Amino acid sequence: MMPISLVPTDPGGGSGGDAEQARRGSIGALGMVLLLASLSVLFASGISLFFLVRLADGDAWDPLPLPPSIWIATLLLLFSSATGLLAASGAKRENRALLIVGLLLTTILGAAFLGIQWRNWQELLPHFRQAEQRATERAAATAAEMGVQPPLRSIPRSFGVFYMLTALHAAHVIAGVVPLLWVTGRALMGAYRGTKGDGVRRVIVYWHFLDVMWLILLGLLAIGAT
Amino acid sequence: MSSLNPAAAGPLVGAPAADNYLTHSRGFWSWAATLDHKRIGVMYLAGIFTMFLVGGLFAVLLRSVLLTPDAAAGGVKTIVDANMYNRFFTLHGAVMVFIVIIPGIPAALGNFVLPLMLGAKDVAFPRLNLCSFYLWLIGTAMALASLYWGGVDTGWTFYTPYSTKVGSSGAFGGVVPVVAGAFVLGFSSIFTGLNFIVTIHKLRPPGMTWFRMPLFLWGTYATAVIQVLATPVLGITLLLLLAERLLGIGFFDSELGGDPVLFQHFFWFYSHPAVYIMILPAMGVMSELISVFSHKHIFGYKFIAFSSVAIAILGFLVWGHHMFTSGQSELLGVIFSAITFSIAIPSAVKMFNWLTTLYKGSIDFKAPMCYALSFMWIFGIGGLTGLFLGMMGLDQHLHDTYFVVAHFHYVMAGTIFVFFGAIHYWWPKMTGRMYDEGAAVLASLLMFIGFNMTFFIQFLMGTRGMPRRYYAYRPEFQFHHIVSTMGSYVMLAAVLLLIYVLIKSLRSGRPAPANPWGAGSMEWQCASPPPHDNFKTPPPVVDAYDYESLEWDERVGGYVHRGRRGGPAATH
Repeated sequence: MMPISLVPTDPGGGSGGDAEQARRGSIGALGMVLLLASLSVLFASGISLFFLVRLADGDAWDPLPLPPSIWIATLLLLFSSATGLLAASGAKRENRALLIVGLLLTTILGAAFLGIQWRNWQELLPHFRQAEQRATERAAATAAEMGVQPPLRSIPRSFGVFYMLTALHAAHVIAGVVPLLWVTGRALMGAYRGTKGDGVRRVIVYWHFLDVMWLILLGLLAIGAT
Repeated sequence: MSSLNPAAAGPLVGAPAADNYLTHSRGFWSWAATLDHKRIGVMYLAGIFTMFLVGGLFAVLLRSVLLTPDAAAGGVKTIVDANMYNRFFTLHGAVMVFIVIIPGIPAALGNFVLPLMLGAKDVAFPRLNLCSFYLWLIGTAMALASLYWGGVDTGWTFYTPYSTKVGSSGAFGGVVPVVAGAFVLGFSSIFTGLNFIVTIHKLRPPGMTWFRMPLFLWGTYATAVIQVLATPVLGITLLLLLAERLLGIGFFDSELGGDPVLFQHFFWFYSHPAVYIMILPAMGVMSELISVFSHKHIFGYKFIAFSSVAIAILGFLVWGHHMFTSGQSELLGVIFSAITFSIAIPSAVKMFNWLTTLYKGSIDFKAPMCYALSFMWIFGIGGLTGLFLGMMGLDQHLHDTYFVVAHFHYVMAGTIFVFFGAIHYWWPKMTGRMYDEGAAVLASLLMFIGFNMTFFIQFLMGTRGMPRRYYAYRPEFQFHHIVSTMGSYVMLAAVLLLIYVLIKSLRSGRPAPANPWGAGSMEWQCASPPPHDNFKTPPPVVDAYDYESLEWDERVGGYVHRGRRGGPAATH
């Protein structure tokens, strides 16, 4: 989606020039602000869901052990934001080497983050199975009390929320790696020469947003582990 | 320069220019891959109108089912059984809300008109715009695919536990594709809103200040804010619903520790603002129609503009009024009820300003105006009955009765009148052809009669206790149901007549002049149909509601600026 949204229309007479470039840059920047506002609402409703479920469950909440490598994932993402800053400053100062190195590192670190998240999900599976067993028994007991058919399957809510929120975040990381690959490829092929690289900087802004969201989610997961 | 050169073209002045957006390039891909907002708007319009017919077909079918009470209640057997009836009303609602009305005015007509009205060449992100259209297409296809899995019978609100447990048979059922389709449609809506906000902020030509913008743009802007900020919540809600149905995560099912009312909170946090996504663009079009066809400056411009923004903001704070009977705390109920009443204020501001605009105007009963006046009647009733439902005590009695059905049709389906009015209004601009005024006015009158026949009597049914969505009913309601169903047949006739009018116009309509109605906004300053790039140079910005400088020119068959008589009517 990103490569599509990053191309504003040509509003003026079509001639380039600094004023024209600044104008197009400000169009793209406002588009990015609105996109992030929309995504913030998305994550905010996910976060409020977490609290609602946690409060409603009370003692019935199945604590959710945090896999140790989640900290490695967090570090990788933080580093990738820092390398993203390098790329953005490379773009701004028209330093091509800095731009390309920054973009490559950010992309690789982002992909590594996704890989480690995948491992985290795998590591949690055995705990998940045990909790699922408990939840199914609980649901069967409730169903017997209410005199209705027990559900076929019951997933513990804590794990349900964990997988939902981290998957939601991972989906947006994927939606960030794809445009990163795009701008990296373009930079390697010699684009952004003699420009301030507005497109690159917008992708990096999006990347910082993902970083901040991840820190918030991590805080929630830490709460959920107790 | 201008296509309209009366000296050269003789009696055929106003004939479509040789090079316009329709003829600019040819072939399938020139449409399917177009970045021209006008072509995207036309494609949206064709798609949305087709889906309106599908949704309308389900409506006529479900009304026909209700002609007789159930056999068990002493009536004769109706055309389908209760399960099929549930599918009819669910698909009617889901199609009309998510696929027709929400994108109707903004995506179809807004796309066509917004950059023209603004004096811009296109929207801010043309590729994103095309992407929105394809998302709409995919979402619609997914929703219709549910028919293959036996349809969906939960009601358009997808309330749990219907949608997570009962629903159509099987774990997959028809619910999954339709919910996933609504999810995709949400993205389409967000991208359209984002595009419009950036366009209005950044692409206004010099001189087009905020308070010179036509009021339709204010309505669209307020709508776009809701689209961007409320739709993500629907996205999460539908994802949770899918997770619960497919994976058994207990968010909403009380057996799994979930809470069904939580779904209602999440759902209405989007879906109440969505009501304003439906009505604000319609109100924007209303301000144009009322002023243009009264040939009088709009009254209270700033009040109308700010009331759109006020409605958009207040619209976020009233979702709880859908849950007065769901076990929400009384204190919350009182707060939601109070805020709900306060929305009546900006709505009434608009109504009174339209009335004042009409006052002493020279009113022209063209088809768009007939639809606009119909909407004032219909929205008046719809708005005022909303106050009844906003009262917590009375809502206990009226909740889930036909009173509610009648109320939301008077409000939401009322916007269809504006949609039709807007289609007629901008039809000459879109197609370069005039339509048959007499037949179009007749269709609008039929529509008005049919609509009131169908829905007014439902208020009476509701107050007497007829619950909504029921297949079988007590025989004493049969008379009401028959009247209502007959009304829906009248509307069907009106829609068929409307289609006839539009097709006839395409085939043999008189070529449209640049400005057939005497409107002042910018889109009427370029030829009909507009050239590919709208304006070669940004046109001079004038007061969109100043009609003093326009006069009728017999030779052009339309309005021209004073002093330019006999000369080119278009200034692009």
